[in-house]
Amino acid sequence: MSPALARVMIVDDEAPIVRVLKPSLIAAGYEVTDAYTGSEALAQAAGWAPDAIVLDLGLPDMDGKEVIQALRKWTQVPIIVLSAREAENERIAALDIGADDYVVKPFHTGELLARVRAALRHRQSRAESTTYSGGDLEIDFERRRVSVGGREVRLTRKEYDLLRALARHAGQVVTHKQLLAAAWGSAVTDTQFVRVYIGQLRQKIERDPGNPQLILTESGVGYRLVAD
Amino acid sequence: MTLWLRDETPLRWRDFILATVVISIASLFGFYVVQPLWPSKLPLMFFAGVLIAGYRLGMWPALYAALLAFFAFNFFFEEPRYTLTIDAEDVFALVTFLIGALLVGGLTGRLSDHARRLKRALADMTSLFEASRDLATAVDPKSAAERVVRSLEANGCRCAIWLIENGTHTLCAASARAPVLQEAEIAALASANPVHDEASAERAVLHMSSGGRNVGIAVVWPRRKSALPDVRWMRALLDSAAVAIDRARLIAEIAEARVVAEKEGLRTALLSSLSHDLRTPLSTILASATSLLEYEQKFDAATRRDLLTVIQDESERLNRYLANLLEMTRLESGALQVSRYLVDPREPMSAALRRLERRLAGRNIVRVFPATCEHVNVDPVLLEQVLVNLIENTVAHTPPDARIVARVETAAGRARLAVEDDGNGIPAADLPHVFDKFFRGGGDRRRGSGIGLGLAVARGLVEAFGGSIHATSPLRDGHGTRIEVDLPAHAIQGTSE
Repeated sequence: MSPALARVMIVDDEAPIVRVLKPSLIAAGYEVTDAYTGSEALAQAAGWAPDAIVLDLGLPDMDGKEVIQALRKWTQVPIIVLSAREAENERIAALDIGADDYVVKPFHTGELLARVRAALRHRQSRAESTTYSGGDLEIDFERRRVSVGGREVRLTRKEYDLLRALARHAGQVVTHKQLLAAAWGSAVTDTQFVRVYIGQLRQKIERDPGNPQLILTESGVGYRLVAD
Repeated sequence: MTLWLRDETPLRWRDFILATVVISIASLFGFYVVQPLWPSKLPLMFFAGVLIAGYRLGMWPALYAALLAFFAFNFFFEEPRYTLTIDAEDVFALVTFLIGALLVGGLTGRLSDHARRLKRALADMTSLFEASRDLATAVDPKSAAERVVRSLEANGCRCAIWLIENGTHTLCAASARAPVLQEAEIAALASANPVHDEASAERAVLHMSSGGRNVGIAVVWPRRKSALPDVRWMRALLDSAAVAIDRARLIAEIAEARVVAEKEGLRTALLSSLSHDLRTPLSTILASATSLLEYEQKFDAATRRDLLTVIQDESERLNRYLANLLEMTRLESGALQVSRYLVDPREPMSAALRRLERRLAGRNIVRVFPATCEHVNVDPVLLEQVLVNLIENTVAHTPPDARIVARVETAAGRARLAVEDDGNGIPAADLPHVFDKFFRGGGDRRRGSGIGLGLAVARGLVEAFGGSIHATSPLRDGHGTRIEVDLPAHAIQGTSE
């Protein structure tokens, strides 16, 4: 099977950044197109059918979040948001309305490409995968079994729900709100629960819970489980 | 509002003397004119006198005049003459005369007193109305206090007003020759408990309050040889003053809060401006450099060169932002060092265009330079910075196919350096703000147009050279913008060598 090149669309109104990202993504083996405005992005997303979208939140004609909302009405194409560090609330809002991941500006090209890779892989594996493995962590979703370095770990239901939510989006950030919804449903809104349970989970699966290597903290936003 | 009558004016000796004069005249006239001709009409003669006294002098002088008339009639005209004895048969006539005179005098006097009081009340109302209309235009507590003093002065008093500022009474307004009160005395008046007004012939102390809050104290003195206005009148005036002062204070507080909010807003705008405009080129540089590190082998030579060019361009852009930020800081702190020389204005314009050569690549640039130029006395480095800012601003706000004209003109001691375009122009609402700090056209959503400092720095520098800067838009057919620097120019003696 020789799959067609994955297609990535870059949406940014800053011409220089597009000028840099385009050849880099091509060199990484993707087919690339660009859009400078939100409306252009929406048109291209429908016409060109990208497999992943890299989206700057500040666009001249509309807010990047509006673009995400419009896209999410009809497609689950992975969206990676580019945003400044201090725009934390913007970032969380973007993730909660359906963006898959984000990269903080200024960024290393390698970091962005890793996110794109994770998003594309996630898209392919979402349906069929029944197992997860990353580092020395392994999860069997069908049998609800979690093992670290071959040794089985007993998790409470909440801990398992959280870990599964993270593993389903391995390599990608999952917001506090999304984790809350996965383990408690929408009734609970205090993100402190998430922090407490993630702490317990780390005690059980991390080699050094003080220096986690599996569940990484995305300060102020959520957590990210390493992808293999 | 209740209508009241001012306290009755005190009885004046003058009025009684006048009443005496009136009856004396009536007596003389009666004695020499009426008696010989129509002796039976003598009582009417006196009634007329009483009537006049009542009309002119009020009730009490009129009653006095009636009694006087009775005695005069009895003394001069009733037998036996020149005595006050009354014959038995004349008692009825004289009593009738007395009653008639008293009725005429009393009624007329009362009516005229009443009319006079109404007139005075109307005058009071009018002056109060005018005073409160005057007060309504006061924009701060001090000017409200001054207006009250003015109104009281117009009513024959001297006055001083202390307003409570930060908990202490402060003298805010006073008549020119108002007696001086010691602070201690004011403090004593202010701390009087319970708060009560005092009024005497020498002065009135009135507390001012609005909505239950103490606003201040007014002390009113009569001017020499005149009485204090009615206390209730002053009270009413000061009540409306207290309301006006309170309101003026609120307005001031709201304005202050707005200034604070604006400052806060400006700081936020500055931060987001800085973070966006400094980070954007930085992001590109970092992405470009890391791409080169990662894919150096996979990129062809042209791509590698392009990425390096991007790094160069964006570094230059970053540098221009920082230069402007630095100039702005220097301008504001007054630390700007200007070394001025006489310079041909075409030189800095050419230098600016050269400095932006890369940014202007592919743009339609027209130079309109004269053959000869008067010189301008400026710091050439800073003038070049000004022109770079103008050109960059134009490039950022016009479509790529716009025509940009760099124009230099000198004539009659003025040099004009302008950058024009035929783009969409500046919206009329934005035009007054283009030189404001951190102002970016297009509702802040237009990107890549810089930090919003370029034109502000340009204005600061041009003003430091003693020149001025203007924006004109549209130029023709609703299109185009001209930003023009106007500087004093000096003719240069042609060097013959």
